Amino acid sequence: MATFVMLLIFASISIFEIQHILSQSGYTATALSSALGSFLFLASVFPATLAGGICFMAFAAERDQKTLEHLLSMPLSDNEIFLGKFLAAVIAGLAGLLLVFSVVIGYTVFSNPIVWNAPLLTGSLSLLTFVVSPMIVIMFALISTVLSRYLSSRDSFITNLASVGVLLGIFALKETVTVDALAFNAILTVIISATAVTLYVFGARKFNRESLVSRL
Amino acid sequence: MYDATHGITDVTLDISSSTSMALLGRNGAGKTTLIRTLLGLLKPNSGSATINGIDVVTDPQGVRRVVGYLPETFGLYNDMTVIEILDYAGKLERIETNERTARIQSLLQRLELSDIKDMKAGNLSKGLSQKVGFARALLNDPEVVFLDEPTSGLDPVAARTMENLVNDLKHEGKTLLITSHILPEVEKMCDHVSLIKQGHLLTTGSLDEIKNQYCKPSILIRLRDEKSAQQAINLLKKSFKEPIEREDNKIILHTNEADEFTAAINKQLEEANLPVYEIKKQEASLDDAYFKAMEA
Repeated sequence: MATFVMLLIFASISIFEIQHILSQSGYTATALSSALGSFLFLASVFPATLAGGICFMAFAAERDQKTLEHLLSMPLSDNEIFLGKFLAAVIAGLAGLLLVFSVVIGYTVFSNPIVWNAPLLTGSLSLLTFVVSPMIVIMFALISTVLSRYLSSRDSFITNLASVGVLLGIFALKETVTVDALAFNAILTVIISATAVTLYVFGARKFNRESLVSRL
Repeated sequence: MYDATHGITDVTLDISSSTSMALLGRNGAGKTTLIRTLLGLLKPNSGSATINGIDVVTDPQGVRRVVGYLPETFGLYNDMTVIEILDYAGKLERIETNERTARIQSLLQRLELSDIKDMKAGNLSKGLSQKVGFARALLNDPEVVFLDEPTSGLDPVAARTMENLVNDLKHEGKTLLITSHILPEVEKMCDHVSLIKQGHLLTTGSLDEIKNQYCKPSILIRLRDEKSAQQAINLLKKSFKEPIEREDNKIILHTNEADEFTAAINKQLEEANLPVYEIKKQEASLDDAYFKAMEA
């Protein structure tokens, strides 16, 4: 319930900002698309944090509540354990993202007298909605799952907050630099993909029970 | 075998099916490390181990399918009820739904958990949590069960219940490997013992073999006072080569032939006008054997 409320709060903040922009620059599809391009990114922060938070529960919290050793003694492969934890977080994060985006886009499109002077779904907005934001959720989950093996729940929580800080920094950068939105999102996609691959190669693929058991 | 800061080396064990083996040693001796290695949670640097013919190193998943494990310190998911915890564990064990439900009901009854099946794990006492952990370990109907300190921290009643459960499993033909520091309980639960010291196997054998290896049975003789006891020692030392100790007005003669010597000692002391208040044979205890082995 608390998670659901938080998702709606993040959606409301974005809606409030988008409404403000539309009232300033006119209720056109171009203005809405541009505003969505900025604030959908912001709206993806909480779903990403949600995915990260679930992943921290993956191993750190299991270790803290002493349930990890039993889990590791189950007849599951290392990959099954890792993917089980990772996918649970990714699915929850993506579901949160879908909810937030539906609320933000639905409200701003249907509650305003939009003049459809251009298509809403530009290349930049498509990239943000369907690639960058889901990848941010996946990356948060990946970072958290990998780090959760080494950190306590408290340290993992701090790491999650730090990741949110980085995300907000990117949002601020996006708003201040005068780079084409499509180019910015494309660069972001490359950076996030490279980070995700690196995390997978050096973290996820090296996942094994022994490293977890040695920290019990 | 596994070799780390607190690892194990040179451990060769052969545990026959349907036996209950106690793994004894001081804290940090390597007992838990050995269990984790046998479960495939830790990889040995060298050596090999098989459980029910399944290689621990090459098929750890196969091993985990036939083994039930109760870790020394374990937690339960506090927000889940007892039945939810068991159901979740059953799903992870990939037990088919109908079979899972039947096994859970059977274990709830057997461990007297039916009344608390809907209680959240966070509200359970230590004894009840231990029972739930035990039920979870038995959910896959394992042929081999590893119990790491199963009675640790339990009150005497809960410990006795646990002891009875272990004995029931033994009679059902399960093979058990148990670690414990409570040696009188080990004597009741286990028929074989292995002693580990600093990662090395000191000895392994049946309970009686281990006791006799480190301790002899003894004859306890209680006399009137300390002076009589000292006179008795002086007298007996002329006839017996076995070690004799005195504790106040009691003397203890360590011998493997306690049955034969008892009557002779009684007669000798009576003839010397040293009235014997009590004379009895004392079996060697695991407790004594353990301390002797650890001191060696």
